[in-house]
Amino acid sequence: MPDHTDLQARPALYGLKKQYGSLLVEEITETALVTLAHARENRDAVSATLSSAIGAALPDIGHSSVADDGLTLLGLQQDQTWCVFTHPGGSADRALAARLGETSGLYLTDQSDGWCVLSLTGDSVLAVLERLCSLDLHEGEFKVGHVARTAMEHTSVIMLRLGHSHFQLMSPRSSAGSFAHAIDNAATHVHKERLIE
Amino acid sequence: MQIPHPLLGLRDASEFVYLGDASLLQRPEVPEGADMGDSVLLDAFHEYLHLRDNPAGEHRELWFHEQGDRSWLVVTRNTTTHEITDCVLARDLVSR
Amino acid sequence: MKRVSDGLVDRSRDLNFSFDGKQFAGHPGDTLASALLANGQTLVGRSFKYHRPRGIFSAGVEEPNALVEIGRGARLDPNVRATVQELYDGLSAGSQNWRGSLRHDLMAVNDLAAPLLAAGFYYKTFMWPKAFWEKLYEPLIRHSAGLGKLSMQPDPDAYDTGYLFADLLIIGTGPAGLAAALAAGRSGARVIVCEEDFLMGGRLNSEQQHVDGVASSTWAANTVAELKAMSNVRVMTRTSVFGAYDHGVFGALERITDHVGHQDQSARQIMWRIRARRSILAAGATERHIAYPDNDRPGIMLAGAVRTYLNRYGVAPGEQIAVYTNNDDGWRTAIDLAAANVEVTAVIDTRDTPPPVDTSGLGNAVLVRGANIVKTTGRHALTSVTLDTGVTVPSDCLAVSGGWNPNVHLSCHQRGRPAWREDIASFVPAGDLPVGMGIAGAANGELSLGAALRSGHDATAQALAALSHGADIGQPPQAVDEACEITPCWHVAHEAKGLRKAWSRSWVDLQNDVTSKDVTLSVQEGFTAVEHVKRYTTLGMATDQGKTSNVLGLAILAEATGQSIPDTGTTIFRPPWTPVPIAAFAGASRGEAFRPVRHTPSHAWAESQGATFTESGLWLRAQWFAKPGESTWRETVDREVEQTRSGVGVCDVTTLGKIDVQGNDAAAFLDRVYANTFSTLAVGKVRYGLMLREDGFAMDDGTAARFSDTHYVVTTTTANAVGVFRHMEFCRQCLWPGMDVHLVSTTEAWAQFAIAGPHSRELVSRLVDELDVSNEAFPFMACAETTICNGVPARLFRISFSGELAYELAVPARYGDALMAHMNDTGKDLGAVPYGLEALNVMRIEKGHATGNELNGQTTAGDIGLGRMVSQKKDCIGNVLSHRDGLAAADRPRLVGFRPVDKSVQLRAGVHFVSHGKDVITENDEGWMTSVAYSPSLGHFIGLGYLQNGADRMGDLVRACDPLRGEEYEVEICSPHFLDPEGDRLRA
Repeated sequence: MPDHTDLQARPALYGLKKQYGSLLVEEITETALVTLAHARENRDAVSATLSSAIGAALPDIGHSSVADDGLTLLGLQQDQTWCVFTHPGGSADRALAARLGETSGLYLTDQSDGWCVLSLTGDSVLAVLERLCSLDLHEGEFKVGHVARTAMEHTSVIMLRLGHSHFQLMSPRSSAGSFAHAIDNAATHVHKERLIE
Repeated sequence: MQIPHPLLGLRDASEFVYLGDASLLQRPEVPEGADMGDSVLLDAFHEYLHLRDNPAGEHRELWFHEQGDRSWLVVTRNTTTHEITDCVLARDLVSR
Repeated sequence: MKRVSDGLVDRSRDLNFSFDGKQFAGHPGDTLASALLANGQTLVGRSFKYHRPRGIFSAGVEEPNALVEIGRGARLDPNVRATVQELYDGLSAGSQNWRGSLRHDLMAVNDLAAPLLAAGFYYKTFMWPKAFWEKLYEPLIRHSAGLGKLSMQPDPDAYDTGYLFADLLIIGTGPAGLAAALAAGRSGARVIVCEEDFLMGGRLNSEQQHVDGVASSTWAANTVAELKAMSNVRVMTRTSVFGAYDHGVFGALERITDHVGHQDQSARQIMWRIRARRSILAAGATERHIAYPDNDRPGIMLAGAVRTYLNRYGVAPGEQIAVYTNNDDGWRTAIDLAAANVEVTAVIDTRDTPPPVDTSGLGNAVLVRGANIVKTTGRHALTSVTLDTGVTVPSDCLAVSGGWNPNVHLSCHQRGRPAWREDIASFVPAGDLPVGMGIAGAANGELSLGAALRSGHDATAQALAALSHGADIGQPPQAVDEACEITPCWHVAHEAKGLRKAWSRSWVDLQNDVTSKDVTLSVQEGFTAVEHVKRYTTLGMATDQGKTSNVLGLAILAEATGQSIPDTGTTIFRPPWTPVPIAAFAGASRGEAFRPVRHTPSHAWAESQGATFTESGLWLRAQWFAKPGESTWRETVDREVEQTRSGVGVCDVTTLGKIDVQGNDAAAFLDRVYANTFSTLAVGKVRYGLMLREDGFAMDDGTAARFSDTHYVVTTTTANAVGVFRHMEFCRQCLWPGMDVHLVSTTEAWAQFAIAGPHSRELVSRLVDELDVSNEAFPFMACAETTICNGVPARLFRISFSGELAYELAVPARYGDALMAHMNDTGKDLGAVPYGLEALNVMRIEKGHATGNELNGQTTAGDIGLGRMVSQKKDCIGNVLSHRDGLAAADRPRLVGFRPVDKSVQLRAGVHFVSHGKDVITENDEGWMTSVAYSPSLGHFIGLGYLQNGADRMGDLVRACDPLRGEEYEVEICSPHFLDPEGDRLRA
């Protein structure tokens, strides 16, 4: 992580990258996560602010919207939208506030360091996720761009579908090890079982 | 058990935490400047917190979608058949 | 016994296996049972109670006799039904429940004692003399009880759990299930098809029948191939749907490696939760036998099973086979055997009606009508059967058909009870079905092939209509409807006379060794309700759950009580349909992965320093950091306290909950949630806060720091972090939804460290970039957002849990590990040391701070000494009810400190206080000790605790009593603030 500070930053999973056949599990570092909270009544005004500032409106809950430069808004709660964008340093909330300009009625919280981010890509991704995830991930139900917060093996997880076989998973940093272990367990089993008659 | 979240659809009950009877939404009003030890207030809060019906049948209850969208929900569930006939956001109910 | 044809088995390949140490060979497609029968192995086990020789009885999951152990060592699996165990090369199997050998079981002596061991015998025996129970009877019973043995080693296999979703779930792939699946698959709906067997087709693979003009097994194979090619259909074999739960959720167990033996890195089995909008139960029917004398010999089998071994596995289970039946279906076994050139010695029909089939091919078989079997012979294998007409027929295998029971089980898992149908003399699904479930085929009492196919097709049509899924699903597959008349015959009276009568038994439940006499005995003793009969006789309580015996038993019960079968009713059906290992429910949640582990940001550094960790909820926290040469934890902890109080100590306190509270109404919101006031807190300041529960008791304490008019950061205790957040969201959404306030949990996002001790300011000043941390600029209870270490965003709080001059410093969690290392390095000359949870606890006790031991949910603000913190000027959660008489009483226990009078005494938490001259009984209990620690600062143990009128008894002595250990000692009551009560160090 690029830093001019005296302290070395450390990614939650030490930059994990592992292959299981065609499945790739990889930690995405340098991801900033800022929550935008607002009163429910202000939703339209906030959406307008965002549209003009970054080119993306507030998504409905369960959906996401993408700004011109790739910043993604996740509709996770009725009055709280999560912004995910690439940002190498800290103070992501200040960086976002600067981009938005007008922030009255908007309350920003930097959550970047609270979450570890994993990317899962490959043919077997659904076979692996169905061992872990109590959500219906069928393409008719959980489409590209859909997002949901749920639990896997007793840890919180936020799931974003980026493609037919491409998911981004975010889980709390302190239990990242257990989370990665659960995925490793499922991926190992799925990959091995495909070889059994 | 599956809970039909009004915004998110059917979700597994393991995402939720149960609190209790939806009557917990009706917290007694405490007037500005009131005497906190007033006996009328004490009775009102006692009833609010402690006295409950226990129906064998339809029950309105509070669930928190902790591993989800963190909304509080009022679920109408039959305690004998577990059939859920209604599920609304608590906030919408109280704001009405 | 021999192979008379290929059946559906691949005879071109051999599979080697062993049974009781002896080597055998079978083929792919065999079960262990079919391979044993092909090799002439009749005797496969000893019965549960009487140790009678037993052979293979059925060809399916209902098997009561052929329970074997599979595997060795830690993978030893007891009570596996040989009839469902797929054969694989290298399989190792062993019979169960004997001492000595299978053939000569020493425990067979139990059989001689049979008249004494009837149902309920243990309610009447083993009672005298009383002393013998523990030393003799119980060990004896324990040794001989049980069926099968465990390896007693941890299960080394891995299991997974998972979640599947479907529009339509089809359970079972006999004719009804396959017809339903075919129609469903062709409609384009999302379909999951589950089959318990390794080969789909159900009885299509066991019969010489035709569907759409082709052999039934061929039609099955073709249909399965078509289903597997459909992308909207998920075909799951070796998958038992074992339970129907709420809201259309089913539990299913998929066996991944039981047919090939253990595979590294694979799960052995997967427990799936399947949520289906609609389901079709096409689980077929299970044949039942008849209760006649000595009906349990090896070689006596279900008639349908004989056809399965013949047609599917190509095995004739005997060379002289007799058939005994009360319905039309039994005759088909005779026909199929004769067609395969196997000798049929007799067909005995209990009914006095003409044969329902063309008997011209049955050769010299004796055809008897209106007769019953009253005796059988042969100890380790059947040799003959004798009829009530006096005729004796030689036979080494008897095929019995007492009728077919629809497998209603899953339809009854949600309070449902089945209904009796007189015409098939069986129960069928009825009443409250699980939501969304339809029934098809034999499971619904449609016992003929044509009807099964049609009903499967129709069930799908109905399900699709209910789903509003329009599709033309064409016509059902076509087949003949074979005859299936039945006249019930449940049991045969005994003719044995005199002494032999005592040992002449008709078996009902083969696995639990329950006889018809046991049922009548139960009625005699007054246990007449069907649920009582079950428990009294143990009928239906074995691992087969009475699949071949329940209906037979309750029919005998009905006769004995004079009630009708419908009035007698069935016992309750509960999951699982077939056994599920507990490990499959656990899935990956076992051992170290049982719960997630939460690590603090400085965990890696602490590990590198040799820290000892302890569990704090899900967190691992450093408990102490032993230095080389320190031999006890006390030495380490005492040193950490001394070094912190004389130099500077650093402790990772990230685990305490942190909640970001923002909004125009944030201040007003906190006033309502906390007992004290936060709207009056200035920006840049922190304040200690106490939260009450609505019932007036203390709930949690922490701090709230104000960073702007609309921004607070609230902390909670580690244990209550999740609960407080939940409670605050309840207040926000449910009680005061009109307030503009928003909550974000930031416990994880910020690494937070306590920096405590006289040199803490110096250390902090070396870290901050620009902030002035002098006492004037940054006094006690100040806070600031700033940067440290050349641009790292940080939050600094001047708060103290230890009682020393102290700060808490928060940085984004990614820097936590590096910061901890940096602080210990930079502060070396200041004597900087890391300290853990133990030292933190010692210091807070010395200071008199309350934690979870004191805030245990049963104490009030007043008890803790914080009564004045509850503002009476405003409503808050818990304010009103805290005024209840019982909570406001003057003589409630108050939090005070305790010193031992004898300074060498080691205090113990949990002791209770009793005054001099009073007995140590509950009535005289004046309070209890909540926390104790050895105080390095004072040189002796100190304690905190609750004592009645404690505040008024300073300096008095009281007894601290430990009735558990029979100890007591005197303690002096003192202030809980043992160190620096004026707080001079804090404000330095």
